[in-house]
Amino acid sequence: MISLNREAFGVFGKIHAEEDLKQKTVSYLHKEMEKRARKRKRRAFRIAICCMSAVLFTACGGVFLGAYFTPVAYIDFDVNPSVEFRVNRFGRVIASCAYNDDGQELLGEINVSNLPYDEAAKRLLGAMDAEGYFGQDALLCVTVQTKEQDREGGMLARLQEIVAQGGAGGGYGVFADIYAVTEEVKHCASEHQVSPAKYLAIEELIEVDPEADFETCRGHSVHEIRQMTQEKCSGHGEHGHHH
Amino acid sequence: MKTEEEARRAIALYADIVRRVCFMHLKKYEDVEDAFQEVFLKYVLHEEIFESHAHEKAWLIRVAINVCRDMLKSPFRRRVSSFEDIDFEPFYVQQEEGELLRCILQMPQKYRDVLYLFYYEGYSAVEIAGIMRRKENTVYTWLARAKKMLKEKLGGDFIEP
Repeated sequence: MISLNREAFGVFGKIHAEEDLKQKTVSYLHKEMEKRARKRKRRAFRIAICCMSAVLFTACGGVFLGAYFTPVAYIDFDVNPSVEFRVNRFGRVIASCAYNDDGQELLGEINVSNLPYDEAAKRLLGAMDAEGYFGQDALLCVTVQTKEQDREGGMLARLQEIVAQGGAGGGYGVFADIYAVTEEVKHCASEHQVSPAKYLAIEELIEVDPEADFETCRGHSVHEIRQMTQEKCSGHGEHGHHH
Repeated sequence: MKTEEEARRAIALYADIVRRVCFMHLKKYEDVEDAFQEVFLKYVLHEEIFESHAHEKAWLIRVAINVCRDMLKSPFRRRVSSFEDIDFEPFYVQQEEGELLRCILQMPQKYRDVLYLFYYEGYSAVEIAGIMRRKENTVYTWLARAKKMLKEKLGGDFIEP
């Protein structure tokens, strides 16, 4: 007779975990815990490496972007549409702006962003030529301002080459004045919102005609301003400059 | 993750209980060994703090049952062996005591579990429902069916208190 109670199930009490099984389990757990601790360390190390890489990448990216969007040279074109290119250390145009409406119109026709400066110059000069700005008496003034001597030399040479070879390869048929200006001249020209070439031309005019000023001369081309200066110097035009 | 010290303490306290659950489900000693170690590994990796020894014990029983079930469900083990194919461990199944044990071990798993937890571990149907994650009524039904099965198997040798 079996009575269905706890005593009847007492046979379960005879079942014990073997000592060997307990020992094996302790060793197994020891190994597993060590393995997991090692894994955790490796994971922490990997995370640290990833974080460092991300920081480094971000820093490098930041430095690169900073370098990319910092202008190191300024090229100004003045025919009378007056346009400025800001060029980064990689020789690319990162910004362009116009000093007058004609210049603004030209920039609206072409896209020079991120182009190498020589390619951008070709496009701008091509557009000026197409618009008929390179007439018989036109004078194209191109100035370069940069603190880096080598860059300045290289840019001037390249711009001269472009102007000489422009159009169908035989030049644009325009008188061109291509030269470097100092940082101070560029700064003063920017303050008066004219190109450095025009700034220098107006300064020359003011020397011989104290009545002349930037406000009244801004609308004239460099060629016209130089003519006014010449007229003043040669005694003609005592009645002031053109308005 | 718990410390090695905590693991040793748990093994000292609950090794027999886990071993019995493994015995009820698995017949091959290698499987028992695997399941036993797996249960305590889960214990070591368990982050939650137990409210009491009773909570800890119930948790270990539930995990042991689940580990054994998962092991039996494994397609590899199903192909290799089945519970019914293997003879019971001779040590535990001896003389008259062995008859009841043999009958219990021949029952479906769920009935084995409720009988063991109810009669040997002394858990109430409500507590068993909590451990096995079943409704209380389900546990009552299983208990009733298990007793009926035992009665049929043991015939006249069965007395219900």
